[in-house]
Amino acid sequence: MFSHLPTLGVGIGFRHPFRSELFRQQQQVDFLEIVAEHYLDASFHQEQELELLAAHFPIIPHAIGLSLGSAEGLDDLYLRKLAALIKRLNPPWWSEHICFTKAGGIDIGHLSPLPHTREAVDVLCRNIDRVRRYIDVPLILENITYMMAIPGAEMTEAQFIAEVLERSDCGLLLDVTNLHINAVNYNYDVRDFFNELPLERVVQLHFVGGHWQDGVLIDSHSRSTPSEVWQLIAEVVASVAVKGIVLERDENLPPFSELVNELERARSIGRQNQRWN
Amino acid sequence: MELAVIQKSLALFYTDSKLRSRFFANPLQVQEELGLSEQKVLELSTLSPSQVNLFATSLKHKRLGEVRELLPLTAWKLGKKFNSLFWQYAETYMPEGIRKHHNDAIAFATFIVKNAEIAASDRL
Ligand SMILES: [Fe+2]
Repeated sequence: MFSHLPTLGVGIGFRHPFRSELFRQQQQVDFLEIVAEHYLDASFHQEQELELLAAHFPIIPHAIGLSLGSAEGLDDLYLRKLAALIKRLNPPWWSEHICFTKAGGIDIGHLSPLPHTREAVDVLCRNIDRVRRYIDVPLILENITYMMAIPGAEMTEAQFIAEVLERSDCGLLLDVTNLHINAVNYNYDVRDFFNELPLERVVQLHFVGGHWQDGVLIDSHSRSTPSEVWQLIAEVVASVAVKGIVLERDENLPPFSELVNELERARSIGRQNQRWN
Repeated sequence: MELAVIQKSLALFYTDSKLRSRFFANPLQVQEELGLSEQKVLELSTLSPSQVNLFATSLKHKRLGEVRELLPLTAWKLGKKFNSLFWQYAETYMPEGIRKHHNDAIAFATFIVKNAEIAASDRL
């Protein structure tokens, strides 16, 4: 289904603190994912940085603030700036989340869960249609974590994601860590979740570790990847021809060599399954 | 159409602690203010207050982290007071747009200055 997309291999979410190490160990990183918002209103230095990164790595723009699930529609200025950035980078795909971040003039500032309803599916599909009038690069959608489930669900989360992907014909950015965290916090079986997902739509994976706080597993991107997540990565990569796997570490950054070790482990899982060399 | 009203209500619960407390104390009392049907307001009242509070706190922590990065010298100079001032400030202003973290940092810096001026005039 997404077999025409190129295989990128193993990448990392770009973060400033490891910039020089990244260039020193360039051969360990096949591609970069950048947070699109950091470059929508870029300063001269950010522009230069982006040029430098793009000259050395394939880049996947990862958007966090488009708010595809907003029933009131999309922010036009934001969408046009995002489209211009994506056009300039000309990536094989780009990504956003299945969530909303804006409503009633309030910018919540984080990915917020949608109620799993038919109306929310309609809203997502309508907004994605609109996005496609500006951006013709394939869009892949990411599953999020949530600290509270929104009442009024008419279907399970997996059915909701499946419905959105099928109707909008988008790929899936499967965040394996998010899936693990939700399964732990809401006490469900990840395999049941997989069974309801159109796994053939998986294009890319995200992985990292979170931390525990007051009995809740938090999606803080602040720890090394736990064994349960490695196990899930191995299962998904064995059954799906993923095009890329991205380590998404933001907080509590260890020496870059530790991140490279995680990339190597992901690379070897891909190799074992003949996803790349 | 209903989703827009639900999302606006949720956005308010996540960012306005006073409204959140009023809602969880008596959901029907804020029904009209939020523009929700009685059925929806009762449905939303099944949200877990502790989970919503945790999410609301995490949003403020996220803003604090971004603002601290943009005002490193201010954070260094103020030490622990930087955080306590930020908690006082956080609900007085909600940043938005592409440059929201920059706007947040500028608004917080202005808040710190005003706070210092009031403290100085109190000492006179
Ligand atoms: Fe992710």
